[in-house]
Amino acid sequence: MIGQYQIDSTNYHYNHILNPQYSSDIPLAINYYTRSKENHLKAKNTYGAIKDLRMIAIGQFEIGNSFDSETATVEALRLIDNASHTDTLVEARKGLYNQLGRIYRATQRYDEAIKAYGNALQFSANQNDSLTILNNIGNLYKDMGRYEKALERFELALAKKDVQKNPISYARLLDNKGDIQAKLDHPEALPNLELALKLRERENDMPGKYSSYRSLALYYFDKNDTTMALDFANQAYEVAKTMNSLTYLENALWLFVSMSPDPKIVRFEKISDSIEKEKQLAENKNAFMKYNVEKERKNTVAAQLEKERQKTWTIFILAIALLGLVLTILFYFIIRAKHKQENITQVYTTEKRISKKVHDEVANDVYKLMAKLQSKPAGKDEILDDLESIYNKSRDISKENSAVDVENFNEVLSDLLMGYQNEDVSVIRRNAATIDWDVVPDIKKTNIYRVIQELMTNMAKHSNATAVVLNFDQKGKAITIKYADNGKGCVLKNKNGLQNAESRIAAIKGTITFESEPNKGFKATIII
Amino acid sequence: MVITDLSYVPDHREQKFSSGEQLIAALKIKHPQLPIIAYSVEDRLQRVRSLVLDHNLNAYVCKGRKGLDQLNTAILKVYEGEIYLSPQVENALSGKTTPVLEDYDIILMEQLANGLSQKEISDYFRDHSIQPYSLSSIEKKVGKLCTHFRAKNAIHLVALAKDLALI
Repeated sequence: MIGQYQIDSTNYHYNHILNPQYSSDIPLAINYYTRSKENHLKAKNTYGAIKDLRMIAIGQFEIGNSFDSETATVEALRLIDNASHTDTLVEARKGLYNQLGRIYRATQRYDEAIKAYGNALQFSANQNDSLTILNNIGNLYKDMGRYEKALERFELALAKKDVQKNPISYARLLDNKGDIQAKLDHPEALPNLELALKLRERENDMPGKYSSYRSLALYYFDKNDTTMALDFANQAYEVAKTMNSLTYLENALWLFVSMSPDPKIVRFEKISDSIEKEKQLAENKNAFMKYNVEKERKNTVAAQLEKERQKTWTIFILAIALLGLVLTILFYFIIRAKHKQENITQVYTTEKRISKKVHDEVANDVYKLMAKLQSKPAGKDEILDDLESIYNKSRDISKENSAVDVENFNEVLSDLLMGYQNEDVSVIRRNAATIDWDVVPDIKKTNIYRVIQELMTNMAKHSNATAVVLNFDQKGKAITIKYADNGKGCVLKNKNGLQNAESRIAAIKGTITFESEPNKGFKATIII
Repeated sequence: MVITDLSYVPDHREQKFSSGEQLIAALKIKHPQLPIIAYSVEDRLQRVRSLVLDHNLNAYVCKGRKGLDQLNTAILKVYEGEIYLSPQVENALSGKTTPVLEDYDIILMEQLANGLSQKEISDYFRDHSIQPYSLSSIEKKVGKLCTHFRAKNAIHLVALAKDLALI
């Protein structure tokens, strides 16, 4: 329904622009096409918008708004330039440039008019179009008083192949040519004018006939043949009456005024004419100023809108930045809280481990010693031996958990290993690569120290190994430490006390793997 | 003479020195001739070394079963103007470290494992311009490695090196 209505009203307004019946027809049509254009642009229908703009341009031109017509034309041309299939819009381009030429001609901007018509000519696809445009250019030169140039154009058009196939435009060109020739006192002026008339009479082309009668009337009037002049003027008047057009009638009656023998009437015609011209010029100027003011206002509004947009954009950016900041802060606190939680857990596990060790190793041994002393008297040396063992155990627990001095780490490690070297065990080091410990963070060094210490203590306590090798290697940033002993080994299933080493290495984002079988020694590989 | 522990337990009194190290350092600055003996549970070589070398500590005795005997010896030695360290921490000043294996040692053991005699290894080293390649230095090196690994002979050495995944 809506689509149907749309098409109907488009046709309705189309006819109103081309053949207006009432003074309100064109403004209403312009209003209609302006809204239609906005809708087409919103729907990304460029072709529709271009068609609308052409109708607006024609309408505005018809009611004398040359500048608004120019704006619409230029906007349509710009849309064509930005359209994807420019080649399908050749016809539209030709029409728009022709329209532009008409506008410039009407506002006496002749140079621009010539340029516009030149462009139109480039885009005219068929002979008829180029004939029309050449005719327009000729008339333009006539307006400028450059008759030779005008004649050139008309002759150029008439020299085209098959020009006679379209009698109406052929006759129009002949008539215009004769008209110019008359101004140049050319002998072929009259035959051309007469030929044009003959063709038009045969075609019964009313506006053409009127134009021919008028041209001949003026021709004879110039040649001071008043009788012939009045005869043709009367014929022109008759045609105008048949056409029932006020414009034509006014034009025909002016012929009589200009050919009147009364000098006062001739003077009146001249004065009236020049007043009309003045008025037209003034109107043009006024329209131009009005147009400029309007353009200025539109620019201001646009600038204001842009400013508003800029402001919104700035606020948007600020909001994003603020959100980012808030998120970062939030993230920081979450990380910190998590870290704190991890620390607390770490401390808790360490405490649990130490407490268990004190219970298992120290308290148990002290209890055993007390029980032993209660059941039977023991010698001093025996008691001292037991006490020494307990003392050593408690000292070891303290050593395992005291702070590690990680400066000169190579030396520290060397001392550590040295501590396990004795008559029973040989500790051997191999440095496949020299490791630059200075760039390794303290926390990593501390944990590496502790794990090696743990491995060595386990070895000393349980393994009965006679040789231990520690191999230090570095590839890129990765440090590899391989531990191997030739002790009695163990079954790895129950991971006797190795979880601690594992968690220490995991805490510094490293890996530790164990390898052992009973009587096959024990191996561990640490990669940091 | 001063005998001091290294670890001080904090209590209600204000402490000017929170550790034996601080006290020793301060005393040695004011009275360089004053003999000082450290007497501690601590047996980390690094700590002992730093006290003796940086602060001119006269003796370091480890607390333990034989601690009191060693303290006696320490006092006598210090009186004679010598430096005394408990046997547990002797190595702090000896400069001794655990043996370190070189690439040379690994190649040598590899060739032994391949069944080469020491003479053949000498030739092999010469051909591959591995220094030193003389038979005597190779014999010496094998002997040294046997000592390091507590190996009875070259065959035992190779067996140990295999067990320890060195070759």
